[in-house]
Formats: sequence, structure tokens, C-alpha cells
Amino acid sequence: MHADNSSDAAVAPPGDRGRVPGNAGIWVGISCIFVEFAVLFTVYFVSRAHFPEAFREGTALLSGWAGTLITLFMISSSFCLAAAVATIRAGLRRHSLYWTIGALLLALGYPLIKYLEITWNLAHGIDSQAGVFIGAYYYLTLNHLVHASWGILGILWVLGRQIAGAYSAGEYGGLEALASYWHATDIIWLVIFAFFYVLA
Amino acid sequence: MTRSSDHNKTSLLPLLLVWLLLVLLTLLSLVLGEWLGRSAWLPVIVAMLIWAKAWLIAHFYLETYQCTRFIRRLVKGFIAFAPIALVLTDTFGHELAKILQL
Repeated sequence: MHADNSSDAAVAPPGDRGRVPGNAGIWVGISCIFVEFAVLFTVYFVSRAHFPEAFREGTALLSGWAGTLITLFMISSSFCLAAAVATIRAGLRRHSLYWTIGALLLALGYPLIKYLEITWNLAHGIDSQAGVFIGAYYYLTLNHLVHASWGILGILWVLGRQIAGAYSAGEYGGLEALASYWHATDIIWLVIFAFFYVLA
Repeated sequence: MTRSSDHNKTSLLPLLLVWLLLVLLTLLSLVLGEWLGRSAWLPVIVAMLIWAKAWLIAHFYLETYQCTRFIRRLVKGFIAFAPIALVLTDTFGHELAKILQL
């Protein structure tokens, strides 16, 4: 499980000030997303404070399976992208490509499960008019799905660049930027999962 | 906390172990959600699980320990926000609702 650490020139050494994974641009984006979701979470907390009973009862309305499967897809695709970065650092380009393909396939499970979940919801009368808990649920989860969709498009782009041989042990900033974005999206989902599928 | 040798980490084993831990914590949170039901402790335990899982991803996948101070603080602040706000909302929800009454 330990790839050869043959490259010391992957990215600029951290120095005293630390390093920026990927590039500065992606961290501007991640900062904005964190601020956006901090605001959305605040909406959730204010609603929860006003309607505690609706939020305690609401979890039972949703499909726990859907939330759990999405969580497993998210953390597994995050692992694959982390492995893609680790292997490209070691100069194992083909391995890195396979890990990125794995990340893409797992990431695609998210919109698929979300589609099935919403279909199931609507069949059971759980639409946006079904109360404050469900309103907050659609508000947060659909917003997250939009951000995850950007991430999936990013994985496709990086995959194309990997196939074209754009990344190596000495230059993998694009792959690492994508991985950073996807890990940030994953962290946000873990919070949403607890809010809507765990807390009774 | 920056270590010059860390930015080229290539070992897959820690990444795999973290993934396993994340899966276990996810399943544990579901079991606790069912088991504790309406217990007052559930939000506290769920808040700790949210923080633990987010920290694992931040530390091992995002490698924040070797990032710039801004990124470290940004990620630390974000992963602390939801668990703290969750506990505060469940402890002082009534008072919070009164303050935020429109």
C-alpha cells in the first residue's frame, strides 16, 4: 500500500508559511462555498430553534437508506481522489488515472441516488410544501447537489487532462485542486447527513 | 505544524484507514440515532461525530496541517461551526427563538 516516493519536486516546498493545495483560485472558491453553507446552516439552526418538534419528527419522513448511500458514495469518491493525488506524487500516472475513474463512478452514484430519493419523496407526498423541516431539507440538499455537480464536471475535466498526460509527479496542481474542492464538498455533506438523516 | 517532508505523501494505507473509519463513524451515527432517539445527549454525540469525520477528511485528505495559516483557520473554523451551533441550538433553542422572533 506504499507507493514509491520518488518525486520531491511535486509542488513548491511548504516553507515557513505552509502550502496551498492545488492553487489559490480553488481556495477562493472553497472559501466562498464555506461562507455560503455557513449561512445556509444558520437558516437551518434558526428554523430548528423555532420548530424543534418539526425537526425531531422530520427525520422519520426521509429515506435513511438514501442518505446513507450518498454518504458512502461521497466518502468513497473522496478517498479515491486522495489516492489519485498520492499515486501521481509517486509518479504512478496510470494508477492515478484508475483512481480518478473510480472517483468519478462513485461520485455519479450521488445524483443517481438523489434522483431516486426525490422520486420516492414525491410519491409519498413529501414535496416542498410538506413543512418547515422538508423545506429546509430541499433547500440544503439541492444546493449541495448543485455544488457536487460542479465537482463531477471537474472530475470529468481532470480525467480528460489525465488521459492527455497533463499531470506528472512534478505537476499535478489541477488534480489536487479538484481533490481539495471535492473534499470540501464531502465535509459539507457530512454535516447535512447528520442534520436530516440522523438527528431524530 | 508545517513539515517540509509531508507535502509529497504517497502512502495509500493511511488514506484507506481513514476511509474505513469514516464508514464506521457513519454507521455508528445511524445506530446511535436509532438507539438514543429523543435523548438530550443525541445532538451532543452527533455534533462530536460530525466534527470527528470532518477533521479526519481535513487532516488526512485535505492535509490542512501543512497548509497556510489562512486555509488551516478557514477549515478549522468551518468544521467547528456546525457542531457548536447544533449543541447551542439544542441547549438554548427556546431563548434563541425568542431573540430571533420576527
